[in-house]
Formats: sequence, structure tokens, C-alpha cells
Amino acid sequence: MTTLRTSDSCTEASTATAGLFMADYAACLLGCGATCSRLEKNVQRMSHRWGMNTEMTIMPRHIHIAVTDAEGCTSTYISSIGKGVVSYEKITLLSKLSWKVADRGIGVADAREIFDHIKSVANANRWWVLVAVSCANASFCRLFGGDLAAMAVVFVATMAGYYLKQLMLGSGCDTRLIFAVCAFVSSVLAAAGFLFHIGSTPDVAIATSVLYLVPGIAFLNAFNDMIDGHYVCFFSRLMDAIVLTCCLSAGLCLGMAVMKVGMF
Amino acid sequence: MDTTITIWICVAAAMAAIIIYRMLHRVIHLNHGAHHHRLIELGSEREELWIPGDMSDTNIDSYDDAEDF
Amino acid sequence: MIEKFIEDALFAAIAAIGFSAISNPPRNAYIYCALIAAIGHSTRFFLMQPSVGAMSIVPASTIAALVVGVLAVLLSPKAKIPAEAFLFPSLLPMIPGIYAYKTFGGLVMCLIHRSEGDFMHYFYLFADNGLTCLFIILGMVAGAVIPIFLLKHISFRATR
Repeated sequence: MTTLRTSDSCTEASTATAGLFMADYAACLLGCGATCSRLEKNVQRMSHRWGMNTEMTIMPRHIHIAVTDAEGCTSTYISSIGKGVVSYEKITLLSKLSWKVADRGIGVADAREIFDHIKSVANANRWWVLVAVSCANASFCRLFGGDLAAMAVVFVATMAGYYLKQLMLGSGCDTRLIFAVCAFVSSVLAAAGFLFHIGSTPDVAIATSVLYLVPGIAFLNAFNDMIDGHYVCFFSRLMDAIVLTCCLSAGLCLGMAVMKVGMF
Repeated sequence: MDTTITIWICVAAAMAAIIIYRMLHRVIHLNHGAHHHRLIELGSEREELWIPGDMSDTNIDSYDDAEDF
Repeated sequence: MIEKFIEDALFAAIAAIGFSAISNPPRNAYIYCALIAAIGHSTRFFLMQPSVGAMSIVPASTIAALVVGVLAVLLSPKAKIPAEAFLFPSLLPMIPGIYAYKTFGGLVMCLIHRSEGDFMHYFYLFADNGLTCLFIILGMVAGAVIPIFLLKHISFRATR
């Protein structure tokens, strides 16, 4: 994340540090997958406490934030939104930080210290996530009417696919490529039901084997922004989600084609 | 039917190979780490005067955990 | 019927825990995600039963999401977590993933089959799945967000 200060009119003003902090804060919050309404509320809450007025333009990849203090001195910052992982834990902590500022009146320096600590909060343990996602997808298979054999197949296919996803994410591969490859691997492995005649619902196994890749949070955030009137964010998040869904569908279609299984 | 089974086996084998490679890599890396640790112990005798050895063990553990993410 | 209902709730809870793990929720949010998703998904299951509500998937999802939204907003101050941190993960089991990729599948089939009859059939599948997917998500978000905005004094103060 980089922050660019675009105005030097108030070099010594109180808006300088606060504006820089709020730009970083906003970029981090949006990068963690917060909705635009949450972002606006949290930033306004802090800036009012610090006696400033904040206006924001939220673009797909940048946040443009203008901070005006009581004397009318304005600083403008443009902050890049990092391509981070969705983390509701960080969103929760960042929201708590905004209330700490609003209720306890902590200063910018202290807020920055807490903020730096929040940024370093680790994500959930990767092995726990791997097992949890595999169990979840197997349960999903059950919800769609799969039998125990199909659940077992989906569990293994998801575990392999998600492990691959973690590896590829770790090595910095393109997300779209990751989605296509993982969907392909999971769907091919889930075709074991058809190939080796495991269970009575092999079609459910193959249909649910890639559902762990569907970018649900991105879809939900997109429509939330739409309801809120943030149409630019809505379109950008929706496009992100659609592109990822297309990539996973492409991987799935290829997997089904090579396994000679029809989708419809 | 034969081609589908061949492709399935190829994909499954590739996944198995990746998992086994990663496990081996991890084991070798750990061994390498231990080896390295021993070398440092041998090389810098003055550390024995200052710090009683356990610190470097915990350092290696935490480094390995951090790499998991 | 009742055991199917319970089974649906149980598996929806497991699915919610697993899928929410991807989005790194706070640790104490898992239990709320599981509980709310179980209630939400089984509500949808109940409403869609031919003998009960016989609703189609779009209104059923919207009503279920409304239930999920109300629960999430009411529980958020207790958990000291913003409502969306377990509201959105609890909605994940209801995301129409299969419709989403069938939309794309229909599109691909449209491109492959050039004869008018086949094309129309696959275009129908593309449009049907796409519209269903779109309106399920829209309905779900509308249902889930209404409680957040109606109960603003609770929902935006949960972490206070």
C-alpha cells in the first residue's frame, strides 16, 4: 500500500498526520473486505472526534480522502487499496479502533500504533482452514442430496484443490489462473465417483466439488454496495467476482469435458 | 473410458507428487535447519559464554511457523 | 420431515464454519456463524418444501436472509463483532454457486452449438441460471441488509 500526499498547503497542520492515518486506515479496511458503508461510518467517526471533516471518493483500486480541519485547512491523500485477503477479524479490530478513538479520544499517534499492530494480525491457521473448507464442501454435497460416498469424494477433491490453491497463492500466482487450475483439479478428482462407480450420486459430487471457490463474500459485498448507492464499487466488486466465477467455471468445464461428464 | 481414467490417474498422481514433494521439502528443510543450527553452535564458541543455547531452537521454531502463512 | 430439517441445519452449520474460515473471522464468530447459518438455511429449506411454503428459491432465500440479518444484528452487540462479520459468512451456504457456474456453462454451450434449436436451448439455460443466480444474491443481500439499516443504532455500534 502506498500513500501519496497531494497538497502541501498545510504542512504543519493537524490534518497532516490524521489524514495520512485515515488514508492508510481506509485502504486497509477496504482491502480486508469491508463494505463502503462500514468504511464511511468508521472514518467519519474518527475524523469527527479529531475535529475534522472528511470526504472520500472510493474508487476500485484507490481511495481519495480529503481532510479539512476547523481552520479550513485541507489535505488530500490518495491511497492504494492492497489486494489483501478478506479478514473479518481485522475488520472487527479496525472497527473497535474507530470506537476507541471516538469514545476514549485517543490521539493519532496511539491510533497509528494500534493500527500497525492490527495490520500484523495473522490469518487463520492454514491447516485448520484446509480441513474446515473440506468438511464444509462435503456438507454442502450432503445439502444437495449427495450420499456418504459422494461426500467422501468431495472431501478429498476439495482438500486437494484447496491445498493447491494455498500453494499457488503462496507462490504469488495470478488469482484467476489459480481458480481455473483448482477447479479443474477438484472436478477431475471428483469424477472418481463416475469412473470407479463410487456411490449412487456421482453427479452431485462433481457439481459441488468446486463450490469452495465461488467468491461469495465478493458477491455479497458487491450487492451491499449497490443497495448503498456505491455503484462504482458495486461494478468493480461484481466484475471481480464474475471474472473469478468464469475462471472457476472454465476449469470446471474443462475438467468435465476431459472426464466426459455433461454439465446439463 | 480409458482416456478418462488415464487423465484422472495423471491428475491424481500429479497432486500426490506435489504433496509428497512438499512434505519431503519440509522435512529436508527442517533437517537443514537443524544442521545449520549445529554449525552455528560449533562456529561461534563465544555464544556459549553469553547465551545458554536454547534461544536459537525457539527462533527456528517460530521461523518455521511464520513460513506456514 | 423433522429429521430432514435438522439434518439441513446441521450440515449448513458445518458448511458455514468451513466457508467462513476462508474469510478469517474472529474466533468467537464461528459459533454465531454456525448458529445463524443453521437457522437461515433450514428456514429456506422449510419455505421451499412443497407441503409447507412451496416457495421458489428467490423469495425463500430473501426471507431466510432476512431472518439471518435480524439474528446477526441482534447478536452482534453480544459478540462485540460488527454484524457483517458473521452475517456474510452465514449467508455463504446459501450462495447459488451451482447456478453461477451453470450460467457460464450455458454460455460456453451456446458458443459450441450453432444450430438454432440447440443454441436457443442453451441460451435459455444460460439466461435461466444467470437470472436465478442474480436475483437470489440480490434478494439475499436485500434481506440481510434491511435489518442492518433498520436497526442502525445497534448494527453500527456493535464493537463499541
